[in-house]
Amino acid sequence: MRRWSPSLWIGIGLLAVIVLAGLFAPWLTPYDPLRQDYGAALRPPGPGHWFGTDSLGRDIFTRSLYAIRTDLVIGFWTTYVPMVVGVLLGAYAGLVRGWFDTVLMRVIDTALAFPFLVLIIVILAILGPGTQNIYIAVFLVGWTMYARLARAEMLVEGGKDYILAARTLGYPTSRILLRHALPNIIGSSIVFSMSDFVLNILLVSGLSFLGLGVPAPTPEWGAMVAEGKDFMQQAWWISTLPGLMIVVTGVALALLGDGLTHRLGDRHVTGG
Amino acid sequence: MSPAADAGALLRVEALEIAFRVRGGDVLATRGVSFEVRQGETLGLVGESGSGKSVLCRALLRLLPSPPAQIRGGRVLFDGVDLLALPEARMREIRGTDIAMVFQNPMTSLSPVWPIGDQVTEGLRIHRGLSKSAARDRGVELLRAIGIPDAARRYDDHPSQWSGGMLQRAVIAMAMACGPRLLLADEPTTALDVTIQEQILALLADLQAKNGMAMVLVSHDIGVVAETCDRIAVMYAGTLVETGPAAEVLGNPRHPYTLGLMRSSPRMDEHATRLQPIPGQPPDLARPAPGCPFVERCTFARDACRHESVRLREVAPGHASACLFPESVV
Amino acid sequence: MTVAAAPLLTVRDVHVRFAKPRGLVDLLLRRPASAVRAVEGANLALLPGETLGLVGESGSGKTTLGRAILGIHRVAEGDILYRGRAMGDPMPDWQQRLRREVQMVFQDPYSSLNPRMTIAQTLAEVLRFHRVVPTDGVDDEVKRLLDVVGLPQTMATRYPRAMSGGQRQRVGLARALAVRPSLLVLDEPVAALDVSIQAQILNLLADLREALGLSMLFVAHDLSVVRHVSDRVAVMYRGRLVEQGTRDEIFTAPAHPYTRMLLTAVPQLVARKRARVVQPATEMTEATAGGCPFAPRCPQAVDRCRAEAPAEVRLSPTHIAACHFAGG
Ligand SMILES: Nc1ncnc2c1ncn2[C@@H]1O[C@H](COP(=O)(O)OP(=O)(O)OP(=O)(O)O)[C@@H](O)[C@H]1O
Ligand SMILES: Nc1ncnc2c1ncn2[C@@H]1O[C@H](COP(=O)(O)OP(=O)(O)O)[C@@H](O)[C@H]1O
Ligand code: SF4
Ligand code: SF4
Ligand SMILES: [Mg+2]
Ligand SMILES: [Mg+2]
Repeated sequence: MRRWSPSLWIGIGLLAVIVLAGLFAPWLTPYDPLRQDYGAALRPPGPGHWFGTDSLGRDIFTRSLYAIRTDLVIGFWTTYVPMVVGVLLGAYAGLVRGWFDTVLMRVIDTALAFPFLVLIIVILAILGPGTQNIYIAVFLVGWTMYARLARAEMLVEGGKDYILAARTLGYPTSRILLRHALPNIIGSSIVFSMSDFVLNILLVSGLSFLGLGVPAPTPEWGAMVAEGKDFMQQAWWISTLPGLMIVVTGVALALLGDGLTHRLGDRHVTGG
Repeated sequence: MSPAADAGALLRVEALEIAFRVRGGDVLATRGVSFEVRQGETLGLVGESGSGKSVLCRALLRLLPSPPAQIRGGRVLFDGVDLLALPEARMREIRGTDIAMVFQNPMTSLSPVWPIGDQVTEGLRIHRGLSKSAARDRGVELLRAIGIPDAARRYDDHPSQWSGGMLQRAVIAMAMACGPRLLLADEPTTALDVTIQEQILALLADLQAKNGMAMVLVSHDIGVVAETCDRIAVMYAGTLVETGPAAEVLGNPRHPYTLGLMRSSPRMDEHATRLQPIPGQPPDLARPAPGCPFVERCTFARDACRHESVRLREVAPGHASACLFPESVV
Repeated sequence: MTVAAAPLLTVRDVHVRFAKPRGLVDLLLRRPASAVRAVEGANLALLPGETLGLVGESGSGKTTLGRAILGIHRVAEGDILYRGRAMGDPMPDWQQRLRREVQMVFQDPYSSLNPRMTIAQTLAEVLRFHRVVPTDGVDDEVKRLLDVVGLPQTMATRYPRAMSGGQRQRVGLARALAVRPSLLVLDEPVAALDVSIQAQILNLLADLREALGLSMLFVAHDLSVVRHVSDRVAVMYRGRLVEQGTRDEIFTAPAHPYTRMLLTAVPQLVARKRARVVQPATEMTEATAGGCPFAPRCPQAVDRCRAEAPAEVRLSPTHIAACHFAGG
């Protein structure tokens, strides 16, 4: 019986590499992520600087490694916490329907009626700037997407007879939700989280640029990509590596999620 | 088949061989299937799920997705022309005008977003170049002919406003629009209630009698074809195992599978309390074994059945069986 | 009726309704919420060990009634009693007991099994959850269940997608039998299967009924199917039970025109190209309020039928029909 799917292995492998690279960044590179060196500004990739340097002469590779620390935390709070909460709420609403569903949908419709960014800026205006408040703001808006997605899937899945069969066998709702329904409906949320992760990193960097988030010199992928945009003609390499890092991390997390789904479905295998 | 029969054949399928390339081998969906349909005749094609009935119908119209489908051999002669050799553009003309098809599920055969009437007459506008208003007049006529009350008003209805039985009528009207000479009906009543099924079968028989077209009626229910068809072809695991006039095949089945199908059908005319199912399941088409494909489930099987190759052989005029021992089937 | 044995299941004047979803326009115009009347005033009784066939066209309310008996749909009016006790009775452990005593087999063998669980996992979960057998006996019990429904042991580790429709339907049956129920509600259990496989399942049901003394409510849209498994038959039309009787009464002396229509619609195994008349697509015509619901399609309908709803006529202690002309 297949317990560990290839996606789980690859996901874990990739993520482990990324996390370790973040942790051991000081040992993996001789440069300081913050030190500016105008003499070495805008160097193309070469022996000294594998991925080149930026306009302030900082080593891109070094900064990309150090940024892992910042960005995994950002991703966790802006993508995966909203995802878990949203999927659970949405799936539960889709399963039990009734007033809970009605209320949840009203809330979601209201939130989605405003442009995403506007809403976040309004929330930030109320809470004040700071990374923590960005997480809160993104969370407050972000979970609704997942809730809607999971609810829609659940409405279809909940009509299937195996869910009904579980009900006629008297299984409690939590068991039906977590063991029977979730593994079958979470796929689309995981796929969505991949692009969501990328967008959230860019969003946070955009907010940082407005002075609302991560302060300037701290290495952060989104900010590096944004900076590189201005130098696209002369120095394409500035955005390349951080951009790649965002995508690879998103893919790794999605593979991990996909693999975990299979595990979730098989979890109650005992002695089978 | 006798030469006299050949003369009137509208459709003649010869040794048609279709495979699907899938991971882990090829699925042989039909193997050496040959039959013919004469002008104005109804051929009933029966067999259980997965026996290749739909694949066969789609192949006749060249509607199989390729890949994975592959036509490995054989000919499909319509009016003496091999459809498999025609250029795609010519084939497109034949579909919908000379040969039309009705599918199993009426709910998915029509697009939910367009008025039913427009969908019914789309073929007329494309193939016959009718103007919108001429098509509408003809469409209302068609809807009336299939028994839709108040046809002029309901022309603009959307599919969600009609019941399954009414939609299947609309699909039939759509197929009939250009006056086809051959209608392929792939389980047109399987998704419907028995009472609605009866109406649809009546409609098909009526349209056929009026237009003199030929029809291939596919069903997994031998009762359905018994009541509507002139001749019957029984399909099993991608092969035809028995063909012949309906009365002959049902009254005097000469293949154990046909007999099994009849015995396992719940009947209303005798006092049976216990059915006689066919034991086991159809073979895996990805692993064809030599010998008779029915051997694992056959109560008449002998040693020879495992290795001797079987093919349709005439057991009475116009009646053929692919069983090695057709006399022993009783 | 002879009141020899107390009924296992009693359905007394049961109504089930579904609220029609109201669109924005309806809300703005303050249109009142309307309801689909899926079941209207159903009366049934099922004795221990008895099988009742419930027949009718799609949309007639068979599934809804079956699910109401399982407690999946709320009953708007009327009572459903199991062993003389209301299904909603607050007695401690009653719900838990009902979940074990009343089980359901579903129509669609493709969607009724969790695609991510193997057959053994599906069955083992039921056994563990309800503590049907001690934990160390679960594996053996799974084996026994597979045996009971005629599946080879090698199927235990398969996923549903790797099984045929007939095999999946056997798994669905095994799952229902796992809790050792007394009453089985079977919702069109063979409608999605081929005739040859259908016959296998029908025979299996007959054997199980013998062996386990099960009571069954067997839902079907095809009268020929229930004929082989039912002691009694009830015919449903648009939410109402229009005729009930023993199998012989229904098949040899049907009293309601709708029952007769269902009977003649069953295709026969005799080659006869019938001369047919195209019947209009009547299934959408609405019955007049207050009249017989079947009147728009009834070949015997007269003016009285459109004005006055027929009462139930008792033709024998076991045979009733709701038609003005059922008596004679
Ligand atoms: N796209 C495909 N790829 C691979 N195999 C296919 C494909 N389509 C059909 N087959 C196989 O071809 C065989 C015949 O299928 P077909 O749909 O013709 O059966 P059928 O007789 O029409 O059954 P039913 O009664 O269920 O409609 C089956 O074994 C099926 O699995
Ligand atoms: N969950 C539901 N919500 C709204 N209407 C329903 C629901 N389930 C069934 N109905 C309606 O109730 C009627 C009876 O349906 P059903 O019991 O499924 O019929 P059957 O099983 O006899 O085909 C139909 O009109 C159907 O559309
Ligand atoms: S050839 Fe043999 S196995 Fe095949 S149907 Fe005839 S008797 Fe049965
Ligand atoms: S009461 Fe009238 S309309 Fe109703 S079933 Fe009897 S004869 Fe037909
Ligand atoms: Mg088919
Ligand atoms: Mg139903």
